[in-house]
Amino acid sequence: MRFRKQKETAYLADPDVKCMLEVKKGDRDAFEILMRKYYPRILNFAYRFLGNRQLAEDLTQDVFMKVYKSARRYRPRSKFHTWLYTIAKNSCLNEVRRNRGQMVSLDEPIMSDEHVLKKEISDRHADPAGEFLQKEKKALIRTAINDLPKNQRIAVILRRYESFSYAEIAATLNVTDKAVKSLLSRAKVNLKNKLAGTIDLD
Amino acid sequence: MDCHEIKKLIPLYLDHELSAADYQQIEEHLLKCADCRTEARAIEKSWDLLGEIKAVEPDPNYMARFWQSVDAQMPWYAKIYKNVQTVFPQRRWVPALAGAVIVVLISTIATVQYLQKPHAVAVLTELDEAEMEMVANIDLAEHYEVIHELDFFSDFEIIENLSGLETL
Repeated sequence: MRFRKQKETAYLADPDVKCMLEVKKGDRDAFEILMRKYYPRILNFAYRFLGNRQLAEDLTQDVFMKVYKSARRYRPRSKFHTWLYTIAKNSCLNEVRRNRGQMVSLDEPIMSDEHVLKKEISDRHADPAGEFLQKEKKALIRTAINDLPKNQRIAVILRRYESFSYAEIAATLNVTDKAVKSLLSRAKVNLKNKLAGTIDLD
Repeated sequence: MDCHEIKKLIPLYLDHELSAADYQQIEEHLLKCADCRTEARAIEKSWDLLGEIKAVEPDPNYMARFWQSVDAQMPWYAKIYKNVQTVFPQRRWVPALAGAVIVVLISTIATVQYLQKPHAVAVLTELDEAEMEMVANIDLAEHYEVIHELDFFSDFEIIENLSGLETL
């Protein structure tokens, strides 16, 4: 009990934890601060993991709903962002399990939702061949990420796009630091092997 | 360490996640081994390439959408509580509010009672002597109708036997 108390106070320096404790008291403004800070990040985490924009948006709404509903029982037992990403990660894994076999991948044209499509059309420059190659390259990169085993994929997204430290990835995935080292090493080699065959890496 | 072992550690080397000794060893090896250098560059380059996948912007209405679903999922009592909360944002006012409601309720009842008093007094003063006597003798009140109708002297006997009337 005493240990838990000590552990809880250890995270009180985290401004996000303080914010969450305000949410616990019923402060909606405090929750909006957290949402403004993390909604885009969780959305992109989900988008890069699931490969579907709409699915990612719905999932992000769900993640924040879970966080909001759990506010009343909230106890700071970790840094806020690792806790948040753990919820997001579990939601992503559940989503994949639920939609097994009918996942739409990032590289399919359906993925370019209207917003992005319009943007791409307006950005069209005088080099359609170059543009095509650029698109092709992106599709290959997306496929390379999608083909990684789930845990490697999560570790890569957290490291590459969210700038997580190895320790933070370990906390989010609930594995040891050593396991993260192994996951990321294998993932990097896998990505190199996938991309080296299709894109000139020199 | 041979090239095979070095290659296994290159990803961690690139992330600066090795002990100082291992880091040094790999750095020295890379200076003299072109094959491992190519491997390191390829891993670094493919990692950099992931940056080509740009971030997407959230739906502009994401915040409104969120609060809408929060409100939609609220049970009815929580909705009432929330409305009370918006009127009285600070919880410590709730007991004061409850107290005020009780005070207002009691004083309303007292005022109504008080305002009815002159009317009650007026009713009493309008009573004639016989009726006054009857009021004084509240035991007879239940027989008010009988008393009111009767011719006092001739029916005196009846009054004497009033209790007997109940059996009729």
